[in-house]
Amino acid sequence: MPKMLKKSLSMICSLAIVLTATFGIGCARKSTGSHGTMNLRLSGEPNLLNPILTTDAYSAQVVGTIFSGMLKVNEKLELEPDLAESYDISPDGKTYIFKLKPNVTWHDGAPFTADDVVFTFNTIIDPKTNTVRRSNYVINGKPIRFTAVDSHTVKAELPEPFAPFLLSAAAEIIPKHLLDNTNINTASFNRNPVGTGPFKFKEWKAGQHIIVVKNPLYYGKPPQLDRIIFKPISDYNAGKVAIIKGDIDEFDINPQDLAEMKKIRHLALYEYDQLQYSFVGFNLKNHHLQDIKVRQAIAYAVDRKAIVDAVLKGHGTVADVPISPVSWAYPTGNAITRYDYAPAKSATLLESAGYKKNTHGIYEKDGSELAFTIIYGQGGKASPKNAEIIQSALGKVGIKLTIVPMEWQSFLRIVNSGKDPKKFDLCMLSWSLSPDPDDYSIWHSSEYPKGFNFIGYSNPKVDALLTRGRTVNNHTQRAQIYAEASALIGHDLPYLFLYYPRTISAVNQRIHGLSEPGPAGLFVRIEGVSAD
Amino acid sequence: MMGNWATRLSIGFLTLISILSISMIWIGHPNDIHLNGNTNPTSPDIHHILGTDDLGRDIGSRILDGARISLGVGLIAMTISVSIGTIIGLFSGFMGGLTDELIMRVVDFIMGLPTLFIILIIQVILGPSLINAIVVIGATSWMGIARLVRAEILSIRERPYILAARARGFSPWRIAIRHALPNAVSSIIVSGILTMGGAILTESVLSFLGLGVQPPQASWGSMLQHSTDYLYTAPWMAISPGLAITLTVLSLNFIGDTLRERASGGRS
Repeated sequence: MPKMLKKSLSMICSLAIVLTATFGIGCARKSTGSHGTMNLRLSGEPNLLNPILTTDAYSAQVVGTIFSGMLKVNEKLELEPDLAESYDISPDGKTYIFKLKPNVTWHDGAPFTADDVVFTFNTIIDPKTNTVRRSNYVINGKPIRFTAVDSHTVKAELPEPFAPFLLSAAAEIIPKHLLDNTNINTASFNRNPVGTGPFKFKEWKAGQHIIVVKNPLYYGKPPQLDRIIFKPISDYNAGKVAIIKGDIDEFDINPQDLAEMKKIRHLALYEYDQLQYSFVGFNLKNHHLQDIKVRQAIAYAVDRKAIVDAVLKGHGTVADVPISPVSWAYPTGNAITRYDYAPAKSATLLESAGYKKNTHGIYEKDGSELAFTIIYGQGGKASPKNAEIIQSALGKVGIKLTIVPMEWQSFLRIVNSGKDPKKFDLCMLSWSLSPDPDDYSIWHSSEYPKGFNFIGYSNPKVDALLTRGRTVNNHTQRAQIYAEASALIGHDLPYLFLYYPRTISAVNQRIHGLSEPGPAGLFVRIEGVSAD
Repeated sequence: MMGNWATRLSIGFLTLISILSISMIWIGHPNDIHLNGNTNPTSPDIHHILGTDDLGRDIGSRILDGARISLGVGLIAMTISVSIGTIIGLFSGFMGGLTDELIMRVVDFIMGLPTLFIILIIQVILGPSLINAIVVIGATSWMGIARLVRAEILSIRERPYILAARARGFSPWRIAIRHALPNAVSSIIVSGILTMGGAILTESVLSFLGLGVQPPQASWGSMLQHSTDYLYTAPWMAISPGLAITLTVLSLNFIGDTLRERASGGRS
């Protein structure tokens, strides 16, 4: 018996050696044969490659290399001219004039003109177009009017001043000469796109790859790479194997894998902040949670620093306000109210609010226990752990929490029900924010019960600031307005802000010319990227 | 003969784990989270014999605490499926004819259904909970027992003493329960024990998918699920619950097999 065991063990050993050898050869061959080619992972298969129709991040990733807009968001999240040379805003904030670069051509050689810009925005505004972007160009029910003043000047007339419009004006432009008089929703263009960007579409093999190649006619700095191959790999572990083997050149890793990745010589690691924060939302229509003292008691009971350490392995920062520290409108340090871990304060606050511990050790008032449920959409790695830590922390203070993970669609149905009241106590979620700090749809009282203010937050001061922030065009003034609004919201504690997660990207050392790591990613200037 | 020591070990293992898991109700707080700036699972040492997980919980005590769930689910689900299976098997076997034919085709049909997917769908619709899991597992695992009982009854029902009982005018139910059923008890027990093993496995799968017990309560399946991020860096998080499931189901199978041998040996 022991003899047989030995034999099979040695067989397993030799098998393992053969396998590693094969992998080794595969790896070497791949890295020598790919000069001037960058391989990027897509976390899913794109559905369309039309910038005005796409809804998912991975389609947008490909589209971003093929198309360009009048303006683009840079590493600092500021807008800089791209297809436009310059722009002017009228003093009343209602008219925008964009001067376009001359001598820009489409990938098929046709000239790029103001007509293309007007066509793009009018197509988005057209209700027949199947796009989620329309609301960016409709202000209080009235659409923005785009006209071509001459072949290289575009005028946008707004029904009322609306500062966040500039970001919408940065949308990628599609060619009129290929799409006029076609049904945009079903056009073959959507799978065979033609743009003005640094790379031209070459080939799309469903489930295998999308290839884009250098655009020799590009108006900016000439692209360095010969081509980029996008590979849809949805599974995280498959992606991890691919970056280790050298099949892909960039991959966002989970913090748990950091130590393992550091040991791999051909990888460089970059860590940077995202325009994103995770939070637990309090349903402010709940009669317990309406009381700020109860919310404060919950906030003081939870050690958020420990959550960052345990769940994100320290690769994140505790959040106290609804705006990312990388945003230009982030409030100054002393304006922020911080509810740092102090469980002793929780008891004091609850008792001052008239709560008493019952025989089960749970606080109650008028016979109603502080017992809540927390809901979240399944799928993320962090949510279940966050929930368990919060449950344990609240339990120690005397607040009962039941965890209810839900399938995503059911979760969204409750949160977006459009009805008052909504059927949840606490909900856990993350917001990915736009580079513009305007988060009217999340915090303005008119956005409840329909809208993203699903917790029912209402503060007249915040409402006034959010409304004002949309009409002022001065950058400094807007920064102040949104900083003030964020600080007020942070103090009111409508959410228990958890953390700003950081992204850790592993990039193959053979890739050069990455942009400054930041929320816009590493490929903001993809034309400057090269590969050995 | 070889089965003997394996069976004894199995009984010993199950007894030990049952006693320890019940005692966990009074001692220790297995699900308390300890975050002391320690961001990694710690490997087994003198304080934590099986190590800790990434939230600082002692894996050994969670295994024992989870045993209550796994064994409890197995036991209750087994009771449910044995009850349903016995009643349907008895009824079908005793009625015979067209009724029997119909019931058996329905059983065939249900056996052909992908049980795990049905359980998943029901859990998604009704929401994940332990009670749902138990009921659903019990309600979808009775078919084997029903067929077994029916087969026993069919073979028994033509025996002289049953014919005699009929001739004396006893009601069919009295004959079924008082005279036929006792002959099928041994195979029901064997089948029940094997079903229990299956139920424990199913519960682990459900918990692994997040559809079984809900936190802070641990079950072996949910512990396994929790360990997937740490397979390379902290393998002890996966090994302990994995071994617990394997050993428990193996023990039940050993006991079931030995009982079956005894029962058939006794008859022939």
